[in-house]
Amino acid sequence: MDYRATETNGQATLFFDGELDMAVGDRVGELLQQYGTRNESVTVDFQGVSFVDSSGIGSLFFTTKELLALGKKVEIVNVREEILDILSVLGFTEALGISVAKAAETGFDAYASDCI
Amino acid sequence: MILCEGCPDNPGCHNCLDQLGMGGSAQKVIPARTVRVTNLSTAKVCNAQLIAVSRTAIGIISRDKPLHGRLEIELAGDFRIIGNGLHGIEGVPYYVIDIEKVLRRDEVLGRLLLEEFHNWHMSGELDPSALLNDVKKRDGERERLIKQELQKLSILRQIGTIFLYLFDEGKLRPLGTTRAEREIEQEMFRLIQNDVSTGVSIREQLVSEDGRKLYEMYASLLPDQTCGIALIDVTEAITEERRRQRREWEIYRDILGVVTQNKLLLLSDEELFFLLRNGRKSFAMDLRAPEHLADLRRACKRSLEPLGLSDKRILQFMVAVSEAASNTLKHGDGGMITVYTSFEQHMCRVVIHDQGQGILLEELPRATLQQGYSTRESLGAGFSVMLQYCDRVYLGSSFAGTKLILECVSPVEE
Repeated sequence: MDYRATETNGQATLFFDGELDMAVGDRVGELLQQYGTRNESVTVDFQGVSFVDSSGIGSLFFTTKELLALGKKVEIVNVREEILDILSVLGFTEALGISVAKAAETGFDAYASDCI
Repeated sequence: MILCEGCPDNPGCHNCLDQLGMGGSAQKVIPARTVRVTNLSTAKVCNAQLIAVSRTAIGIISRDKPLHGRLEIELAGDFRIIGNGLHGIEGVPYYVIDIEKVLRRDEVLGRLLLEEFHNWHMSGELDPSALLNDVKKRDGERERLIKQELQKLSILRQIGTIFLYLFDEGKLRPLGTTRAEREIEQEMFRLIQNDVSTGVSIREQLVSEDGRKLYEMYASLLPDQTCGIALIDVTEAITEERRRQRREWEIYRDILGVVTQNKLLLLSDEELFFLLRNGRKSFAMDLRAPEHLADLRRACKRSLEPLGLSDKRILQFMVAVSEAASNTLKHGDGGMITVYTSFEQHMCRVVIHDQGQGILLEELPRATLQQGYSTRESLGAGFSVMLQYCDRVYLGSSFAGTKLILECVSPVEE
């Protein structure tokens, strides 16, 4: 599981690549927490995500909930159809009521990337 | 020595009664009663035989000690006579005690009420030492004490067959006429002999040699330092409990089957065994860490590919496998994942076996059907995902762990 992140004017975008399961679930949540704390808005890009299960997005779910409660904006974009289907079965999108769609193009001021 | 011309067998002899000085109102005590005599001046105690009574004096044979001075004669714990002792018959250890007062329960009287004395004498009301000397009566008391101990074990109250034993001076003997098999008695003896010195109660289960009888053994130290043992045949009770559990399990199985339209089926270990006999084992993995989940999914995917399933279908089934495998890591130390494929039946079955504590029967509906039930860092959606993405889910759960079988069937082309 790899990731990279951009930050500009209080807007962060997290790009995940690979499989989100129990092995990386906590790290995914920590990253969202980290970028969500110092930005007003976070976009999570799922273009490179090829697998998710409940343990992989559990922490992402709870962190998103916390950020929304703090008045932050969170959205998930570029979700593949088959992954969207899994998120739907997991009740992820309905429970959070967030936007899950293709991302608009953004300008990148900062850049970070790592392998989880 | 001839005591009083053959007393008590000679009804014509009245020597002892004559010494009481009450003429015809004095009476013999037949049989003689053992009493405890305390010399109130010296506090010395001895046992003696009460052989005659009148309203104002009693006659006692005391071979060991002379009974002179102020004495207390204890007939029973709540029946005492205080009086002064004098030697009665020359050449015979017979003493007359002039009654000063009689202490009977809460009353203090100046004389002995003969009718009450005889009622007491004939009632069999015995003093403690007599009780301890009488083996049969002592066993009766022990039996009562053991049963009293058993009352503490509520589970045993409804059980009929109880054998009672006594462990005394290194020997085990039955209290009563019924007894268990010889092998059980031997095993019981071994256990008691080892543990009785610790002074704590023992509770053990014993199985007959042919394995058909199960006993619950309960041993407890009695106040007289012997050990009372109750051996209860619990075979029927256990059998009935198993039947009850089986009925309960069947009810849960039927309900879960109906609610999930037979997608979730509870199976016994035996049924799971026969289910898997049909397939061919194509892969096995001992999953111990989350980092191995990706390898597991890849291996499962390879096993599924020959079935001709779509990529989407394979991905969905992999999500189900990943959910089940992750559960073994969340609730235990992981488990064994085995993949069986059957091309004849166009299906793949993945067995996830963990040796955790299992799922309690009463928790099964919530654990399997209620989304968000999990308290861990996941969505608690594991089972609903499995039910959604598998053609069938089989579940066998016991204290030995949980076996979950996820089944994926390939559509057969016409």
